[in-house]
Amino acid sequence: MKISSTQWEGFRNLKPRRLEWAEGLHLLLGPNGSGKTNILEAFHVLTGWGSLRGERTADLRSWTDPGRGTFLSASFDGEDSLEVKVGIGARIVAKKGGSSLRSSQLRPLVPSLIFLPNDLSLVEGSPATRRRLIDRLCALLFPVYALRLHEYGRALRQRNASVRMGRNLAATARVMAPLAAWIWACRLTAVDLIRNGLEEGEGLLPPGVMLELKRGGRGLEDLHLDFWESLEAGQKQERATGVCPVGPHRDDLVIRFQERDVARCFSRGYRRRVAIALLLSSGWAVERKMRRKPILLLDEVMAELDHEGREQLIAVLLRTGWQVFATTAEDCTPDWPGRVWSVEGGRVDEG
Amino acid sequence: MSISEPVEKLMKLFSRFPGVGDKTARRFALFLLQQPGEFSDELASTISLVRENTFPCSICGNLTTEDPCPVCSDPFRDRGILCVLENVEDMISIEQAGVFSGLYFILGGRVSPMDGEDLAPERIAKLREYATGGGFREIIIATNPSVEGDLTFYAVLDSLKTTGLRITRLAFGLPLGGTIGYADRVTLHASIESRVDVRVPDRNGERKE
Repeated sequence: MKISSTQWEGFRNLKPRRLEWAEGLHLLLGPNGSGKTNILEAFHVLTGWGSLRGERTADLRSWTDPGRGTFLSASFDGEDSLEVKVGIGARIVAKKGGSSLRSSQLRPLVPSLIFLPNDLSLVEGSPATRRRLIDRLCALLFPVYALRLHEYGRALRQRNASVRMGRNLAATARVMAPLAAWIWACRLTAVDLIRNGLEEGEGLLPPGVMLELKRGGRGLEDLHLDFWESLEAGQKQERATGVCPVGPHRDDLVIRFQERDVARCFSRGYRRRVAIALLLSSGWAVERKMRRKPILLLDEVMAELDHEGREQLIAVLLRTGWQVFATTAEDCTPDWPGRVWSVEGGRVDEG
Repeated sequence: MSISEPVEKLMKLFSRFPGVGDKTARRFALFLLQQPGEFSDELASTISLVRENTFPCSICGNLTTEDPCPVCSDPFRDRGILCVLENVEDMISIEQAGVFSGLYFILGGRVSPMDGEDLAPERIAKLREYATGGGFREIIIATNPSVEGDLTFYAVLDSLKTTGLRITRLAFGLPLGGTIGYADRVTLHASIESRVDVRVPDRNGERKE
């Protein structure tokens, strides 16, 4: 899919503007605070995801005039053709061909993947950062994933409350077990797809980088049995700490190179490349499973790579044929093989 | 404040109703004040009357003005099926839909440890006593398809598991009368996951294929 045009009004610091976007690569160039990330955030909302700053989507307003109405719209082309209008205020309205769509319905129609500066620490960061990468891919691939993950989180909170209150834990285990096994099955599929995708990013990484989902259980083949047995084994620890030590909330994505942990044996620059390669692999997984080209949103990624890394990334991006929006504060890519947009004080101009 | 104290108090009382925000509470209060005096008199006396004369049915827990309630004392209901519900509101929904002719049992709560909610032990004991002594052939545990609904379901199931009765739960999936083409992705996925075996009706009843 690709964004063919957008229009925004009263959104963050962006000046009202209608813009036409071609397919291929787009570089949004401008100083800090000019509005580059706000453009990516607008694309993020228009593709069914929420705020980048953890706000409720209903609170995404103009920074200069919060009382003003906020309106975003976009036309998408490619494997499908649709118009999305998002009126932010009392409620969000996304429409396709006159019918209202929920965000969960919109996301698989216009799959987008975003990479923020924090994601660069994906390799050496906390397991939660790596789980977010898998969860985002799963939410696109499996329609009820987001709902089931939410239910699992709620069941986990109910269990932790039961532990603290010294209550019988059998009922919460029965609610959690099918959810945990289902989430594990989805994550295993997603990691398989990411692993296959890594081969496509030839050049960006040395061959031999391996991925594995380390489940928050004992690792038995039968996922249901794994959850039950792990829960039983961890009960003493659970009673002592008041926190359930078993389940998908304890999963991690293990990244190895020649049997060694990448977080320890790779340089900072190479760890960045691994993080970007994982995002690109998610994109290939989306393309393969959903038969739609994803839209890639890269925030300040180029500046973190050396010259060779940038050239290799651009070569890989060109090979994908995806529509890519990358932001940068400094023009570190003079040979950018796509369109360059200048962003200044919320104003966007080509050139 | 430009609003007099009694009017403000009325608004505050209205805003305590479920689903009523400040604006709707204001509309309710202003509507009431614009009606003839008889309307507010009738409303006030009805509220007092309902409050004084309504109590839970001693058998099922339904709110009633006579004991047993009209459902429990109805001779035309199917006395072989018991539907266990979290609250009276759920019972009213099923009754208004006219899709169930058995009897009910209202739990009067749900299980949610993190909200400090649980089923009253005496209510569970009463259900067990009713289920075993009521001559039922099937018990439907009609709790919501949510984490709290599941926790409530298992609490009820545990209390009934030694009764030897047939226990069922409500199904979920595609809406009837709808089409696959119009179903959203989440509903389609849930329907595929909760698919059931085909049963073919023939002269001997239903046969599992």
